[in-house]
Amino acid sequence: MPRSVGTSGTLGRPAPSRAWPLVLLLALILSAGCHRSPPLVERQFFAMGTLVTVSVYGTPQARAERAIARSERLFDRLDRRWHAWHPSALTRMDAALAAGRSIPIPPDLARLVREAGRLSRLSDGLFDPALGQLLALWGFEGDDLPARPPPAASIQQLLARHPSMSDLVLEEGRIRSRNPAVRLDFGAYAKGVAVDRAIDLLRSLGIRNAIVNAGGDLRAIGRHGARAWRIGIRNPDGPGVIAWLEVEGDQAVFTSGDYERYFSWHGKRYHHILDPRTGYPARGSRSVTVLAKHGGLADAAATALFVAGPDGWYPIARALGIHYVMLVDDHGRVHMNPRMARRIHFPAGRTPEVKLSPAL
Amino acid sequence: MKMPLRPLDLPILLLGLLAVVTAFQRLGSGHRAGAWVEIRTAERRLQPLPLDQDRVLHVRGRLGVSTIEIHQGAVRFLDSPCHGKLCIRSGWQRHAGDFAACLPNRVSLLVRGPDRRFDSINF
Amino acid sequence: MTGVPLPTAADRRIAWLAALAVAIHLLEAGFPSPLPGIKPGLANVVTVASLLLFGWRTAAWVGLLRVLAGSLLLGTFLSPTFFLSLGGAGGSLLAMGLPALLPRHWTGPLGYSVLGALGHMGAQFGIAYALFIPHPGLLRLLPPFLAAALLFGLLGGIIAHAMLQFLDGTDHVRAAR
Repeated sequence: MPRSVGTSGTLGRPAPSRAWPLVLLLALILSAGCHRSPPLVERQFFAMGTLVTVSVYGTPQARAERAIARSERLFDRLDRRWHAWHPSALTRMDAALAAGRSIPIPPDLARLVREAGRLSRLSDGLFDPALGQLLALWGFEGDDLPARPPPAASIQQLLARHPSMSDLVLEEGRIRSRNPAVRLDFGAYAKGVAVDRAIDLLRSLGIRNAIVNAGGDLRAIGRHGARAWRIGIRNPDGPGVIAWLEVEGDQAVFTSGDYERYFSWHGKRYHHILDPRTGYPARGSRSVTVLAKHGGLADAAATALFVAGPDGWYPIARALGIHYVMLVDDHGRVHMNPRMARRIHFPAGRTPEVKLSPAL
Repeated sequence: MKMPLRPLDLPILLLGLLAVVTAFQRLGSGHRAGAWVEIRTAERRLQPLPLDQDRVLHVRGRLGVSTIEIHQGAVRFLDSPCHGKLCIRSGWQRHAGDFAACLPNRVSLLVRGPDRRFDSINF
Repeated sequence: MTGVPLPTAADRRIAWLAALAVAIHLLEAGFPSPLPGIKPGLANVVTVASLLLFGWRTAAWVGLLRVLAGSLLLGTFLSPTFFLSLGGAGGSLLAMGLPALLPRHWTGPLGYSVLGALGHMGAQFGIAYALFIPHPGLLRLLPPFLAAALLFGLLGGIIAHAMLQFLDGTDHVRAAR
């Protein structure tokens, strides 16, 4: 090894020169620069009454974390504007609507009202954010869960007043309601729009591969390195997943399930997805999973199709322009359109009974 | 070969042995290599905890104290000051990516580890 | 190169010792390790011998030069491997520095070698944990790694003792001392 001797011999003149500490210091400084970051950065935070998880792939850690922090602030901001029971721009508007007054409507709420109104119409009123009073009556507006169902008479009284999105009149930057029983609660929609806004924000910050998951509802863009994102769909009947699918490019995956928010009273389960026609928790479905281009549409559609149930979901999905639906019914049967069936994988040995619908 | 020991040699050797034995005792190999749980509240994220060391934790949230149990490679909510108790009903979480949350109390737990099957869970 | 003093005898000594350490370092790098992350670390034998013969300062130069020259020759300079190596050498030297503060004859090659090996492993582990994979699962690897370090520390101590015995018989070392 004569060359190495020469190398260390000429370089290694320790005592007389102070060069080595300098070299080492330089090396350490450089090392900070080459420190490789893990490809997946994932953070969780509480927002909009749920747990939000943002995953970013292939962006340097510091940049990814800054972007995630900004999306957290975005969620907080939207929460303060659209919250249905904590004081917000929406609760102020709801107060005016209940009093029969016409008030100016801020642009973000106008967009929300207009788009939710359109989706409500297309869904035959099965998705109807004007039923805030019904949710409040049940006690599903609140950070915790109610203890018991409300008296049947109160439900009937409210339904008799027929609050609906079609009672709202938007004109010249103002809003009023023809029906004082209308109270807006965008619970089944605002989360989807917030997820869309967060994805837009991440994109504007140069992030190409990400998932924004707000309490189980998510939109994914790009991919996970060499493969697509793998999304598990939780089993409505216990731990683990009932199915999984791969998502890449840009797609929202939203599920409405009766296991998300529920309480038991006298041995009966009451969940939070209320049927506007009966005023009671919708029957027939355990969960509905919808794939769509946007979170807002997917969110509203999952709710509407859940309420429509195993016998009624197909025409509503058609009307809403949804191309991927999976509904798990009361008996654990899975209803899907053929396109969805090609995307869905069931875990080995756990393939349920599947009923295919006509194409969507 | 004769190996003369100096006064500190043996103590150093014993100290090293002690270090190895304690390391094995404290961090010894369990059956769930590599999985750990991240617990968070609205305000902070707790130090990740390995899932193979059984313990019971008390975490202060917005409403009060949530009790979380780690047992044989899985973690669950044992108690929480919420009314709905959905967090407790979600049961044991054991695979990477599994999580449970007490939303009213703003306490959540997330299992992390090398055996992650899904990038995100939809529900 | 004006103004730079000629290498002193001490400089040359360090260079030779470092060269020997580098040679061992390279030889070790050439053999695949049966267990990833675990290597005998025989180059530390030279550091231990340097410490016992010429004191901690010389040993420190030998150790650091070995890492530097070794990484330049292996092409790992400034790579993560290099910093792990550097941290290991630093940890080893720090650990051996403690008894080196005490009277010289209190600690022998075995003690130094074991301390050096444990310090080496401890520092590398800390760096790997903090910089590259902050993962509690990694902690599980610490006990077997420490055990291996102890074993190879013992082995290194025995070799260092033999080396010193051999050198003691040569005029070269006696003159240098």
